[in-house]
Amino acid sequence: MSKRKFALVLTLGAALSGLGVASALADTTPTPLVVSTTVATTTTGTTGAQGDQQDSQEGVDEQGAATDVAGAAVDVQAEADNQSADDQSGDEQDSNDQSGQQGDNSNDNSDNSGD
Amino acid sequence: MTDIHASRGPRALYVTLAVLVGALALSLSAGASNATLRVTLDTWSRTIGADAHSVSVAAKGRHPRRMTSSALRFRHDALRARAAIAAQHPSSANGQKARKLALTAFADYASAGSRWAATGRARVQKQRAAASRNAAAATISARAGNRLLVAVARLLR
Repeated sequence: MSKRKFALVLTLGAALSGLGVASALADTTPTPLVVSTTVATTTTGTTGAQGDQQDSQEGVDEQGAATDVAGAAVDVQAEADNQSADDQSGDEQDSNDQSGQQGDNSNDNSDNSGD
Repeated sequence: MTDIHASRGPRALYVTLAVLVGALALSLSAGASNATLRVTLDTWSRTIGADAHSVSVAAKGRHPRRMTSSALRFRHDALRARAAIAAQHPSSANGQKARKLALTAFADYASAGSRWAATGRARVQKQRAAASRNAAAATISARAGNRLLVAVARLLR
């Protein structure tokens, strides 16, 4: 009887550890425990931050960032190629100008050292 | 003889259970490390997106100084994101590949930010050729970063 129990436990143990190792080495999503927890939090709500969490599950944060960066690239290019003068009055009212210029210089130095 | 069998049974059972618990703990920590990478990537993607939006607004408003300071913030955050991702240690093969690609993506973004700042400075100094040159270089870096970031998200999905 005890041998049978032992064999049963051993079999179950082997099966469970196999599952555990398989999920660890799986190339897709993390373990079911983590996924189920996340799904539980994201499906309880439909708006606001909870909706954002669900989006992040599908790579929307990364896609959104890529879209914003692509938009900035287009806008900076358009500004760079613009032949007319800039809006200097509005530009110089920005209180961050000084810090920006200072940051510029320090970052330029770090760039050169990095290269 | 029966005593030996009786004492060997529980000992083997404990060893089996210990191995089992160890394997499960290993698998849970592996999943957790990939999930942490995913969360880090999401957080910094949102930050980078907001920074890029600021650069975009300044460029549209024809404010090169603001554009420069926003671009420097973008660059600074890209470097911080890179450091945060470098600190992650995913266990799966895809997680490790994603980490490597993400590091390159944020390095590309840092380069783009640096070029955008140079574009803003060139505009302030009325060096239009230099501004166009830097903007074009920034676009190349930004596109490279975008491609990699989307690929990383796909890998971690």
